[in-house]
Amino acid sequence: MRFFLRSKRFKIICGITAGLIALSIVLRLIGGVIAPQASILGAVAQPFRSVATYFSNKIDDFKTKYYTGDQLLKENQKLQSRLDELTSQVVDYNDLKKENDFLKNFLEIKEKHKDWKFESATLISRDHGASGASFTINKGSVNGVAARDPVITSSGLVGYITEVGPSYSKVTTILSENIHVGGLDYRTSDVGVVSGDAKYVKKGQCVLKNLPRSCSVALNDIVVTVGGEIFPEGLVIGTIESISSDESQTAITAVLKPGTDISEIRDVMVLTYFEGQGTLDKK
Amino acid sequence: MKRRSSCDYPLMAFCGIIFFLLYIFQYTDNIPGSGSGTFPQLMLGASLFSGMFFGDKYGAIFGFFLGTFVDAVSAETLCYNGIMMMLIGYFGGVAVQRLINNNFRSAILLIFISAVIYYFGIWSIMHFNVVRLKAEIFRSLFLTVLFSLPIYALLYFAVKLRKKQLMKRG
Repeated sequence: MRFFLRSKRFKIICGITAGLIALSIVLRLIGGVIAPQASILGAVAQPFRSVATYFSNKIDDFKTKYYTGDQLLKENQKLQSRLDELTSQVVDYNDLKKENDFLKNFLEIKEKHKDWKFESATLISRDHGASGASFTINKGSVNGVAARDPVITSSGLVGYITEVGPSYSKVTTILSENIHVGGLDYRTSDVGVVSGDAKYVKKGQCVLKNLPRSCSVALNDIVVTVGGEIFPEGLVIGTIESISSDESQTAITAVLKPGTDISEIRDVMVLTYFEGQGTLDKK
Repeated sequence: MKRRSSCDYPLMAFCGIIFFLLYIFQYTDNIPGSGSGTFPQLMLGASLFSGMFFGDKYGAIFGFFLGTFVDAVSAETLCYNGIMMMLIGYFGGVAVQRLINNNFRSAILLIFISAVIYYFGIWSIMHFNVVRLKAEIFRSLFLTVLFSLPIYALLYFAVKLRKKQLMKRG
């Protein structure tokens, strides 16, 4: 045993372990950086992962067709689009004015922010260990993507970039407990903090926390970003599905269904520039 | 008790390619039973069995590279997988060289111990405050042990075939 502990190989292993632990601590303190060795190997594996993901998606599509049949799939798609249309019409009839105001404001936001710059990206792998709360995309620093850039789809906010490699980046989604986004109830202007919660992550939901007890949020209210250095103002986060008091009975917590179904995402847009964006980690 | 480790570079290259393909495969959502936070870590078995078949040195090297590949796509683990799999590969080799025989029973025992240490590390470092993730971690541990055993069998037969091939060549 003593001989083993004194062996050169054991000492080398201890040295490398200590070095890697030190590197982890330094990188954790810096933040937003992938470990250099992981960055290099990640870049090597990235094209293979892209190809594998492509084939995996094809296999999924094939399985769906095999089990349900082409006709059922088409019919389902048709019915789904009809259902979406009808749901949309119901919303229109119920609250036409509110919807008009909402759309008008969003149109204004879009017109107001013509300077927003996007980079389209494709998901190449999911981090299953984090319960779908993060994934990797095929765009990195060479494409102008930087840490803390918001990631969105046409349906709303997905999350933000936490680590950037040369040709790939890691995205932390709004289902993660480590994300904290200022959320605003669009109807009532009540403000809270949107974050992930282990209790709801499996259902693909997140929570709007720290709402004052006097707030008047209601079911189906739309929650958007408050805006700041990381996220621009007015991005749709999701709709309220349930409301409850938190454990300490001092604040209200609402469960949100994100505007985007994060478990089904394949393509996203990275918002590489918007006015007022923080410059902390930008190129 | 100490045994010499084999050092067959073509065989190791072959295993490296197989491990890389497994690594690609494990991130494609096609592993039965995975999803919703449950996820077998095939690279753990690959690292350990590399150590068992090729010795502590190559176990550590395989473990380091496979772990680093995993780190490249994991959220907030930084070098955890690189460190852990390097150590598991190394101690797997040491165990087979000094303590136990290299057979299927040892493989089951060592992969179980390694998976417990690995997932306990993940839980304690990253999710210690999330009680609900315990169930996912237990399921992941079980799947890791289960899906690692075919990797051992694959390596076992690859080594056996290679030995036969070398014997024929004289």
